[in-house]
Amino acid sequence: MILSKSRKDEVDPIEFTLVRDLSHIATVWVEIERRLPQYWQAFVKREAEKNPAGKLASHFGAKVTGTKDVSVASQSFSKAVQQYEKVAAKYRDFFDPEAMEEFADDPNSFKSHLAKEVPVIAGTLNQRRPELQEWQSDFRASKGRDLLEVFSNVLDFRSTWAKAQSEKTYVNCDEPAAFALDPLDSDESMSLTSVIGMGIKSIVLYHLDARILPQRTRLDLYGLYFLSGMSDFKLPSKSSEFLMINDLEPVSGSFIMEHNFWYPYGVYSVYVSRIFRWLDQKAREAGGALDTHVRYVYVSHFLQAVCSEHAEDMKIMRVHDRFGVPA
Amino acid sequence: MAKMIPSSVRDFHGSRGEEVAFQSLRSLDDGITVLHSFRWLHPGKHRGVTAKVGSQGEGDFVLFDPSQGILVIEVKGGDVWCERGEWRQRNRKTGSIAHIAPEEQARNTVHRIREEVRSRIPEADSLLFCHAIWFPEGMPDRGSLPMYCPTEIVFDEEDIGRPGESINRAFAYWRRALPGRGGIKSEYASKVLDVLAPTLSLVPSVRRSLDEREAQLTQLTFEQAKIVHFLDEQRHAAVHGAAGTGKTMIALEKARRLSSPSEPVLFLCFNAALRASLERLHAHPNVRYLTFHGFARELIGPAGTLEEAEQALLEHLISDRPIPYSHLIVDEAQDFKPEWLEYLGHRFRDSTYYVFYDRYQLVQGDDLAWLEAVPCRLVLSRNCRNTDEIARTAYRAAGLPISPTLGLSGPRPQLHLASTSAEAAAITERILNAACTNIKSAPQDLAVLTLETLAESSPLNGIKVHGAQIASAPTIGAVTLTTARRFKGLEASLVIVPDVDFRQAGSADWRRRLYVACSRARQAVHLITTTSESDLGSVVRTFADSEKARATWQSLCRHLGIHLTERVADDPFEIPKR
Repeated sequence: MILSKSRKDEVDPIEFTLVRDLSHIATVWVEIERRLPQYWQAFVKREAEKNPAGKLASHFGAKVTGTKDVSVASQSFSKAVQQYEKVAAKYRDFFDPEAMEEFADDPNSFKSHLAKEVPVIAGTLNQRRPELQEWQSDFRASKGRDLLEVFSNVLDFRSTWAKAQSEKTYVNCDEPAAFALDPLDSDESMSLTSVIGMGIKSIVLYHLDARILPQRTRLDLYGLYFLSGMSDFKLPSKSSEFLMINDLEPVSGSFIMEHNFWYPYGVYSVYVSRIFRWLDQKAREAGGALDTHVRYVYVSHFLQAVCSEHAEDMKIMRVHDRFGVPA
Repeated sequence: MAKMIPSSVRDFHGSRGEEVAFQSLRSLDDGITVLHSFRWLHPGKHRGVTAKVGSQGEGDFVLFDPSQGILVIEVKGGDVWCERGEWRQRNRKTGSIAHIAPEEQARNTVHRIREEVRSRIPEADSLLFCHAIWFPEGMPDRGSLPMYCPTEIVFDEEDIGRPGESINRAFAYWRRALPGRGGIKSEYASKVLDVLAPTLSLVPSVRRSLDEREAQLTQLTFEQAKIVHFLDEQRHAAVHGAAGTGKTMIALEKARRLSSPSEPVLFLCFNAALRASLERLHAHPNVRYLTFHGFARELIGPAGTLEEAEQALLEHLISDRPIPYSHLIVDEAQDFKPEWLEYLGHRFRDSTYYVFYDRYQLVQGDDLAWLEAVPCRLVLSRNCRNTDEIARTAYRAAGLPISPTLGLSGPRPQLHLASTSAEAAAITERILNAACTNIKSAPQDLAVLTLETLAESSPLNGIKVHGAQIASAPTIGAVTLTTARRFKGLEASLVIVPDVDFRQAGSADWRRRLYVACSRARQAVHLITTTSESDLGSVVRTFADSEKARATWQSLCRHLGIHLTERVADDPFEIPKR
């Protein structure tokens, strides 16, 4: 997509309509599904090489043998879940509904605690990368009361929405409309321009409930970009929907490339939920099953592994990371 | 290993002997239960027994071996000796010598246990109940023991290492002494144990938590006590405090301290209902409770209109004519006209003059010029009337900074949605009846406070409460139904506000009334509204002070710290589940 830096309304609305179109989604999915096995194999191989035996074999240029795919993946996924639980505890503590209500008496203290205790915010604020300076400055200029309100609204939405998402209901969702997540993208009371967008929201939500709320970080979108064969699927902008290219601010004659900040969360949920089902199917074929309580931990972990297969591409893509939005 | 009850003891209160015995008895066989520090009271049903064993006592160890019986062991450590048949013990710390009767102590415990077990378990009729004494820190001369202490039932230091052998020896002695007595069938053994060490759980009574909170709410806080003492040094002072910070409590305490037959205290307030309540609950021979207009009538007489009496009183005050009071305390001064306070301050310039007020409740304009004449101004900041949840809602309603909370948690205020005022009245009635019937609340602890003037045609006038009257002012045996304004200075355990029209949230006066109404409640608040969610519009933004606020009940409730409820619970004081 070719987008303006921070003005969503300048984006060609046709592209957003197209990416939601069911036939378009079907086309993209065919491409993703076609590539999943090869990335799965690469993932298993890479994970197997991380084992002590694998490292040794790799050192001598030998092949790792005798290791089952699912067993390797299972170990890798287990580590990812452990890591997730460790971080998720921080989010759960901070966004505890009662604790949030206490902050209503002192919204500025909410902002300072948010900056210190919520990993995605604290991590971004503490980085000295130039491309993050703009976001850091916007965050500092934001009002504590607005930040509190936005997060409270997101949590309110989540609590109401999640009540309707029993596992039985959720597994049957396979279209953007069925997920009913559009308000998270469109409701202005749940965003703070240039400070709290879907990336941060999705990270918070994911750490509160990875069963039904995927995180939509830069790497997740890059993962989909590679999985979909980097194709533009004949979009008018002739670019991938998972990326955005800012042609308004060319740097030294080149375009700035980033993940698509505004990629619809509902459409995104369609792809990642399908990827989970695919991964789960692999586990079932081997006589196991993935834990649906943390379904999106597996997906995120896998998408990051997909990105690892494109280290060189990633380097080029991230050279011009300068939009300053975390995640 | 024997079952020890308790399984471990943190403190033997300096008794090394008991500690040693405890560790030793732990090594007894499975199936034996040992109770340490067995305490008992005697109900006094049988005077003879009570006289013999005493009304209360304690056994150091009660040992229950279902195959042999119950053995009570009294332990005596330290310097113990027997002199002419009487046991004596020297206190190691003080050196003092005391007469002791270990055998008698053990025997009394045996009597008490036997009485209780036999009355409850008829099958325990042949169970052996016996006693022994143990000197774990010495070796008595067994040849010289008193006749009431046969050697078999006396344990010493050597028995620490062979407790099983020792208790078998004691049981054997008693079996010989009391033929036909012994153990009990296994099916009754657990019943005996239930008598000795019962297992039960207390079902919390519905009232318990209410009463506990009530007790905490009536304690004078440290801050209040400090101000009471500080005022001893001040003849003129103005004390500001938000609702529930204990202004009236301090005012009453000061009135009590200042009053004497020769120096009566005038305690002025604005509300007739508050005056009546003070008179009823805090009557004092040398404290006169009056409203400002009551004071005018008392001094000037019944003639003329109220305005004329008010004017005459002010002239009386400024002319320094005599009045029968030496000290003046004004409570809820925010309701007084500024000139009244000015004139009163002038008249009591040479005596005690304390003014208690809440600037957040000012209804007579924001004129605080009278304060200039008061040299000492104090602020009460700690809420001590309401639970933290109620204080939070009240303060947020008025947009006030939150004062330090009391640390006393209770149910979160609840919001009920009604479509009509008749439905609001029906909900009010259900809450009141639930409180009176299920929780046994005293009707005078319940108040229905409206934010608007109560019209004659209001369905609230038709409310019926089982076993209680409805009164427009606090009355024993009646639920109060009045406006929040008229209830200023008063409080109730449960307050229902049946006419919350959130569309008026833009009005500072309305928000202040909501603050007054909520802050009257000590334990529970129920708000009832007929506003619809579509009308919330800017309401939530008013409370949230953010453009990002959403016009939903969920958001409003979050901002006010209240719980949106869908039904009237059986217990209106219950803590709603989130």
